[in-house]
Amino acid sequence: MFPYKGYAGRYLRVNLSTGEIQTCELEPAFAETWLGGNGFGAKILWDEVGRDVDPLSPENRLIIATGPICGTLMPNSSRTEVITKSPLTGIYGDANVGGMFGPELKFAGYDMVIFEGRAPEPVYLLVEDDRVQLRDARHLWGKMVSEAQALVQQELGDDNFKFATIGPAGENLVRYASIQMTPNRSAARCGVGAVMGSKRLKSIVVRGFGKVAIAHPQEFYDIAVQAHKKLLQNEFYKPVSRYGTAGLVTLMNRMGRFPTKNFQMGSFPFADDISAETLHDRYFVNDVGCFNCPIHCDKVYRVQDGEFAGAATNSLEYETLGSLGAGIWNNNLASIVRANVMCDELGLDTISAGRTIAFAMELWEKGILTGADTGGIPLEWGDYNTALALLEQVAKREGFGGLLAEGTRRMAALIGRGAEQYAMEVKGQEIAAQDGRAQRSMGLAHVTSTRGADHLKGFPVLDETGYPSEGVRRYGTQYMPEIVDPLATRYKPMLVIDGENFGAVIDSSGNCKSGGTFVLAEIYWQEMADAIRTATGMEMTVERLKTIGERIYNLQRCYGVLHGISRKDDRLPPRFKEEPNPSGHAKGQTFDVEPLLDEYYQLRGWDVKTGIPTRAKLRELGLEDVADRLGIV
Amino acid sequence: MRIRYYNVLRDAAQRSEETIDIPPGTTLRGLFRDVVSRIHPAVGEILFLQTGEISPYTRCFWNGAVAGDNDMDRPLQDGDEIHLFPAIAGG
Repeated sequence: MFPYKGYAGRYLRVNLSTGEIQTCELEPAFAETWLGGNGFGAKILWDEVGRDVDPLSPENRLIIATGPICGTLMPNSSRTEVITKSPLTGIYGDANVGGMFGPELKFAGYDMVIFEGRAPEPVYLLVEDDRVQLRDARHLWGKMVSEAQALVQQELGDDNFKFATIGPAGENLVRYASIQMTPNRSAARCGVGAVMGSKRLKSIVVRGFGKVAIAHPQEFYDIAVQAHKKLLQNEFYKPVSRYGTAGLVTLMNRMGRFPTKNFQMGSFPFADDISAETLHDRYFVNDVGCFNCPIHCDKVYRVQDGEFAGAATNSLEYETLGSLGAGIWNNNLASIVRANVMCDELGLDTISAGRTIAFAMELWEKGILTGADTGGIPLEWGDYNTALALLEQVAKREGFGGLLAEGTRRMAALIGRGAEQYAMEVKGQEIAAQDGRAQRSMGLAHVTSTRGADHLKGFPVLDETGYPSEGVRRYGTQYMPEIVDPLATRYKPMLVIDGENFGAVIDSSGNCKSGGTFVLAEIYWQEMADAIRTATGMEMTVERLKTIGERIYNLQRCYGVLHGISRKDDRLPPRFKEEPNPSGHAKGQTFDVEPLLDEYYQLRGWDVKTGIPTRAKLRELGLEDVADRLGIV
Repeated sequence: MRIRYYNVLRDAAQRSEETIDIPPGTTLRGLFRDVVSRIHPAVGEILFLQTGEISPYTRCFWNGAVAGDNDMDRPLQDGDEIHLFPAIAGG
C-alpha cells in the first residue's frame, strides 16, 4: 500500500508494440527521491533509454507525469510534465504544460503514464478511471488537433474528457512538434510531439471521477488559502492577470531584450503594434484560467475583420509575439493570431517554428539561401503570408518546409555555406525571446539548461528589469544591488542555480513556474515544502526539498553527459559576443558567457574543466551509481 | 513633455499617452506626485505606497534609460519622454 497522500499511488505503463497495459504501484522510495514530474521522468530515462537509442525509435520512452501538488487546492496546481529523449537535441527533453489534463489524470487515479514501443497502426489511449484501452485512431491520423478531439468526443458521447493530442506535425516527426492539452495549452518544447507521433499515438483521452487525498487536510487547506490570498495581494498579480505574458512585449522591448530579426536587434520599432495593449483592445474576448489558478494569465482572442477574420485562439504568449512577430519583423498582429492558431492545430512549438523561419529569413538576407533552395519562395523579412505558408509546409514536411522541420542546428549543417554563424540555438534547441546581451542571467541560463536553449530551467526573472525590493525579499540584502541588475554578472551563477533547482522541484510538484512561484514568489521554498509535507505526509523540509531539486538537475545533466555533453557544449551563438545590441537599455552591450561558467560549475560542485558533475557531488546526492556508469573517478 | 502609460497604468489613466506642461524645475518625483497623481488619482494609487514613497515596483524609462532612485530628484526638461510600467516579469 502506497503510504503517501497527494499522489494517486499508481501509474500506467503502456507498450504500444504489444498493446499490453500494466497498472503499476508507485514505490514510496521512488517518490521520496524523485518527487514527481520531471524527477520521475529523468530517472526513468536514465534507467531505460540508453545512449544508443534513437529518440524516434520504439525504444524511446514518452512519459507523461504529474506531481503530488497537481490537482489539489494549492493555487496554480495544474501542471503536467512530458519527458522524453528529445529528437531535436538528442539529450534529455521535457515540456511543461498547464490546463486541465494533469489534474484529470490524477482524478482518474494515475500519477503518470509511460509509453514505450510503437503501435502497428495509429491508436489513442482512453483512460476513464479503471477502464484503460488502446483504441483505433486510423480515422484520426492526419487530422488537425481540434478536429481529432471533436471526433473522439463524438465517439465517447461526452465532452468532459481531457486531451493530450498531436497534430500533423507530430505525425510527420517534425523535430519541434508539440502535444496540445486541454484547453489548447502546449507541451511544446524539445519535440515531444514527434516522439508521440513516432509511436503512432494520436491522443491520450482522460476522464477521472476520483479525488486527490490529502494527508493533513486542515493544515494543507490553510496553506493553500493563505497562498491564494497572497497571490491576490501581490504587486505582479493585476498586471499579469490583466494582460498575461504579452505584457512583457513593450517592457522587454525598452530593455533591448526583445529579439528582433533573428537576434540582430534587441528592440522592435513596431512593438506597439503587437503589444498586449493592442492585442487586448482589438481582439480580447475573455480570460481563461488553468486548473485552480486565480491569475488566469491566458486569454481568448478573436480577429473580427480583415484578411484573418475569424481567427480565434488562446495561449497567445509573449514568446509567440516574439518568435512569429519581432523575430521575423512582422507587425501584423492578426497574422500572429492566425499563426498561433495554425501552430496549435498543426501541433508545432511556436518558439522553434518562428525562430527557425527567422533563421531562414536571415540566410536569405545574407544570400546564403536563394530561390534554388526554397523552391522559389522569397524569404523577405516581415512577409507574414510566407511565414504562414511555411508553417503548413513544415508540419507536412513539404518542399522547403522539410528542411525547416529539422530545426535550426540541422538546417545549418545541411545548408553549410557559413549558415551556422547565424544559427541561434544552444545544444540544438532554438533560443526563445531573451538575450544575454540585455540580461546576463538569461544568457547563462540558456547554456546551463539541461534541455538545450531555454529560459525556463533557471528562469531568472528577478533581474529582467530589476526590482530591488524583490531582490531583498527573495535573497536578503547581501547580494544587492548586483543581483537585480540585468547587466551585472556578479551573483548570477548563484541566481541561476537556485532557479534551476527550484524549477526542478516545481516541475516535479505539479505547480506552475509562471504563477505564484518564480514570478510572484509567494510560493517559494518554504511554502512549497509545507505544501508537499501536508499534502503527502512525507517528511519535508526546505533543506530536503533543495536536495531533491539539485538531485534532479544533476541527473538531467548526467543524462546529457551520457550523450557526450560537457563544457564544450555550454556555448552561446557567436552573435552575442561579437555583435553589440543596437538598441534599448542594453544598447552597445555584448555578452560572453565563458567567464560565468567557472563560477557556475564551482557552485554546482562540477568539474570546472569539463563541466561534468564530480563523483563527490553525485555521492552527496545519492547518485554514485550514476558516477559509476559515466566512469567518473 | 510626453508620458506613456502601459498595462494597468494605462487602464488607470484611461489613455496610453499624453503631453503635459510642467513647471520649470519639476523633478521626476514631482511629476509623479504633483502632476500625474493629481490628474489621474488611480495612477497615483499604483505609483505610490500608502507611506507616500514611490512604489519600488514602478518601472520608469526616462528618454530611453531606466530611471533609478538616484534620478527621482533630477529636474525634467521640455521634450523629455517618460514611459511608465507597473510590476511585470516572467519570460
